[in-house]
Amino acid sequence: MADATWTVEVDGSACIGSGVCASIAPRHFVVENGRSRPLAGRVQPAEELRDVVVLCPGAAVLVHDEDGEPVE
Amino acid sequence: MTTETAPFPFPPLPPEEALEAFRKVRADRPMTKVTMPYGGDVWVIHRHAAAKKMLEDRRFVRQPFRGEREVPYFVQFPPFLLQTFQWADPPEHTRLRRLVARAFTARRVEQLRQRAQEMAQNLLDRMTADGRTGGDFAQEFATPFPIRVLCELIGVPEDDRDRFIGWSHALLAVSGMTEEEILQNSMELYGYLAALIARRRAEPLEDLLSLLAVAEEKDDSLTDEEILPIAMLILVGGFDNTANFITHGVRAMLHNPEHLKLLLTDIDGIVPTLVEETLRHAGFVMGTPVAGGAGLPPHMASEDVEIDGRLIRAGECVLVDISAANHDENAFADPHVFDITRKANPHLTLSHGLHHCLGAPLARMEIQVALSAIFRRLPRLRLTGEAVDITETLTGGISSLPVAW
Repeated sequence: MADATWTVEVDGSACIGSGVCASIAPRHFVVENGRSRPLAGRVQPAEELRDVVVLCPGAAVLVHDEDGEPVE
Repeated sequence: MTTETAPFPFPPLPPEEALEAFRKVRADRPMTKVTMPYGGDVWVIHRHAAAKKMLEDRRFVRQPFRGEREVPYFVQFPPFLLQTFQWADPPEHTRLRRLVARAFTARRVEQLRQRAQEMAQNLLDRMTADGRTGGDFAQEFATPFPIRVLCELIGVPEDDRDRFIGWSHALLAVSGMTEEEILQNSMELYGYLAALIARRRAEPLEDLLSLLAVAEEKDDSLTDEEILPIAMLILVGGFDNTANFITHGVRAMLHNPEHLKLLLTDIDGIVPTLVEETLRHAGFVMGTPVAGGAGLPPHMASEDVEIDGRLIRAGECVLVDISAANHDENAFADPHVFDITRKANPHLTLSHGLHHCLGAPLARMEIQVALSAIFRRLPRLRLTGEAVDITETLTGGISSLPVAW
């Protein structure tokens, strides 16, 4: 079960560079030149990623669980 | 501190001189310790990268300002605003904001765009009715437009909408109105909203108050005591600010005919970048002086934190000088140029990080719809008098802008 991983993506066309993600989950996101990108594409499940998905003002952060279901 | 060569704050200066003053202070130091008219000392950050870093760093908090600590700022924050999640930290902030965030997603805002376009056209119909060729842009468009869109979003019935304008101004007034008048207006608005929430709880519609009234999140729901300040925050945050930027965009265009000419060649194509450039820079191209001193609402350091080589000690306050940060040559190409087609524009006007403006997608949509509708319908719009600025309120405002078309 230690292998359970989630995937993290940022839709660059929807991202408005708000920095909400980097503030809530600094281990997972960095904002550069007004756009966010995930620091890793596959990560251990983390509660703060749920908050990022819901609070991202561009709805640009996409997280899927180990079964490929969207996390929200 | 070498403030003698680069003083900050500084009094209103012609825009070119103000830009040079901001450049000098940025070059000289990342931040200045300023004693505010209220709440004591605060570090004011001038550089874009340092500002962004601070705003992303959760060791800078807001909760202490809801208790003993007075907010260091150039005006007093109304107590009701301090009760909203703008001044909360996680996990409370997260819980409240996620309940509201659903109403402000880009998708929901897009659904409102068409209604907003109709509202803009209706206001322009009224302005130009009976062959009129002149009027007051602030009174007849910039002020009524955002409040109508907000009332649509919140779910305030048509007949009650005009009353909100007076209430909102009263709530933000930090002078010029007696405490009794402010209290009276607050009570009326609270009473009205409480009754409306009760109605929506009983019979939900497709609006924000209904969404909040019936919101349930992990066995959690919002009480009226929580919904009311959120509704108030949305009203006061989304009304004056949006009206101001619509007026700023119009003033900037009318003061710069070569830019207006460019805009008219491709209104829909240029309006999105015009809106961002208006948010960043319009205050410098309206023909009015610019002072150095204002900024975003502050944070407090919960522990010692080093930013850009300066140690901010636990308990010290810090805020962002957006005028300086938005003109940082390390973040913007030719930052002193008003470029309505600017591609990369990571301005901090809507803040950044956890407290990034909740209504940003809504504000952008409204300003886009407004500027697009105005210049499509009235391409020969011109100024016929001086703007009247309200400076004694938290969000500022423009109460009059005489124009002809």
